[in-house]
Amino acid sequence: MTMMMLRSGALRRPQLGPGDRASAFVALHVRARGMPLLLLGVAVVALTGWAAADWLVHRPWSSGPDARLPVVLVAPLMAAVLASPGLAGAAEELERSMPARWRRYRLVHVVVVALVTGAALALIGTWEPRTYGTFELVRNTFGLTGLVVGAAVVIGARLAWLPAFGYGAFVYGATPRPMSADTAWWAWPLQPWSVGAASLAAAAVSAVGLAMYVLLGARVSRDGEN
Amino acid sequence: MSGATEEPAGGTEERTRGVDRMTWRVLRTELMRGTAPVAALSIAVAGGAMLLNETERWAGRWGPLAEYTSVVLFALLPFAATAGAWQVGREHRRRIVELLGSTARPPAHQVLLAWCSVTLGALAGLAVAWAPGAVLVARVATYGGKGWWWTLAVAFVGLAAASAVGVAAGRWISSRVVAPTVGLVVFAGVGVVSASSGTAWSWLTPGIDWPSNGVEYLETDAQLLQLVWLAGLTATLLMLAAARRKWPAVVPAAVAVVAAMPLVSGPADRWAPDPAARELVCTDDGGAELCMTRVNAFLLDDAKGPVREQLARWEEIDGGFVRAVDSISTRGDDVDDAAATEGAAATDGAAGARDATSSSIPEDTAVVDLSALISWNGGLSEENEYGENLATVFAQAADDVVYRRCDPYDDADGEVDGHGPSPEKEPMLWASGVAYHWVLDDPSPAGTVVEDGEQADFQVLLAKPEAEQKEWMSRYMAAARTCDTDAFATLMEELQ
Repeated sequence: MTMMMLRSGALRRPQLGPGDRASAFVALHVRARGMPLLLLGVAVVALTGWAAADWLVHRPWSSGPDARLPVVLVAPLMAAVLASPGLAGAAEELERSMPARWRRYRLVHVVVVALVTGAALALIGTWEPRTYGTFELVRNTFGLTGLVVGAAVVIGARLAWLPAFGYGAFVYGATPRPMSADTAWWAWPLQPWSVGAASLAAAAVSAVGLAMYVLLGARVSRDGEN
Repeated sequence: MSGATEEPAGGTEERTRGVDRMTWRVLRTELMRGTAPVAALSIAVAGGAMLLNETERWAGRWGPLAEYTSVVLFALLPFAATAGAWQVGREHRRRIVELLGSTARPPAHQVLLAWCSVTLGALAGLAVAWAPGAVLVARVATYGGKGWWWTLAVAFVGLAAASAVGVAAGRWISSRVVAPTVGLVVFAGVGVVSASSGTAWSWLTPGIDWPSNGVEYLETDAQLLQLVWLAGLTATLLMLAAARRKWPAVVPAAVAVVAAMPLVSGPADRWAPDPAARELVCTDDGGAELCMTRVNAFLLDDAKGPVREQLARWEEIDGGFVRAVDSISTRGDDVDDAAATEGAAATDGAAGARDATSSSIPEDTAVVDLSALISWNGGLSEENEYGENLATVFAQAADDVVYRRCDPYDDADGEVDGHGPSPEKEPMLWASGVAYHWVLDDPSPAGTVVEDGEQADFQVLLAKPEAEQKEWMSRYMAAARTCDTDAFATLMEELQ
């Protein structure tokens, strides 16, 4: 889409220099990948998550900061799901034919999305941040975003939410309680920050997903859609 | 009638049959190629895994099985909603909304068949998840239960309502991520309503937050209202999503609201006691007596041998336990005693039945809670995942004599002191700790914290001849039953 608009000449201005053209391209990319809508969605998720966390902590018989566990999983998962449509363009194959540094754009795109989302969600858990608070929210944001971008490479952006969604549901239902640190390698989204292996697992998932996406981009389906 | 008038009638029938055949064909196609198989598989796997992960909650009992199915429903509703949104969002994703709109097929037909297929898939998944549990329960159950089928019906109708929520969202919102978003929103919404700290609003969700122990059941009236509320909600959503004219949706919406009003304005706790489930079924083969509630009587054959081994340890202890009774028979003393004894004619082969109230339990009876030791197949496991076994159950029964009668933490008013026992009651707690470990015959059982001093005192007791150990335990039981703090102090001085 971005490339089509540029090629059509509708956005070309003869006076624009290389820097201006790059800015225009970035602005187009941001719009074409639905970033404003994503920002709005992340804001809604953060506000809802903050209200839910506050309610969970302050309701009668609450166990304290531990009670925020569902928020620590669901809010980053929701944000990662909302980011998934922007991992590919409307006509991805056509876009890639444009001589642009796509790997760099993909890297910046995912890193900016993860940072903005992580920063917004971090505000939910500033009280007792190491007990299902800010630390776990940021860890899960990066881990689950990595899972979604990795899935976009394998099955395309359209269904990139599916593995993360299924994994989140599985982990929430199947992790034995009380939680053991032995399960950190597969149940990392539910572990407290004190379990270092969970952060390592999230970092590994995030790094692998990001590397795959930067190198290969989202899978283009046979019908050309994503 | 003339042949001229029969001809159109026959033609109408033919057309109707043709439409029916077409409908079935479309439904079959939707079932095979839509999201129904995914919904069925995910709900069957997730639901089955969660049910089989906590078998001790329901093994051998129909009521708790249905109730625990309702508990795991919270995790399954998002799957049904997601599948519904995904199925109906297909037209948007494939950009064929206009194409379908140009055909003679009414939109209601599309939406209802899509909902039917997803709902059938979801219901099949829940049935598959529930069926292994039902087979395991049917093999050993000693009580048919009361009203649990309504709990199960609410669970199934709840899944249908969740898929209707997804279908409506998928119809109204055109987005690639509407399916997971709806799933997560349903998860959060149902979680918030159900966790509203025991308010009546939780009755608007089809799930419950925890199962009973089998001697209570959910009021049938409330569950019928839940069924009407969920059915009304489903019909309203489908009519709004599918029908060309929206105003008829007012009718099911009104029905739903009328059913919901008594639910949200009524009591939050709608558990009713089931006196028949509390009736005691006892061994009568001449050995030490073990009495289980009728709902737990399936444990009798497995438990009577190990329980008698534990009771043998109490022989020659004055005031010691000579028989054991299921602890859930002593709970819920607000049960109408007359109702409890009504129809107490349970028979269980060699076993007889009695009424069960805590006041009728004599002092020489150990009140044992075997529920944590129920194995997946309805037998008695030697040890559970938390290291509990029959010895810890009996040690707890001995401990309970002190805690129930003497209130060592002075928390009879319901407020735990938090500063430990009063000084004059410290020997009571100290002695009960030593007695606890004597019953266990193990100074450091799994899952308990043994203080050094308590450990040393226990070793002193253990070093005495067996007759003296039992004499010490006899005096301990006498002190426990009279809450004699001086006697507890004397007992502890002997060990120091």
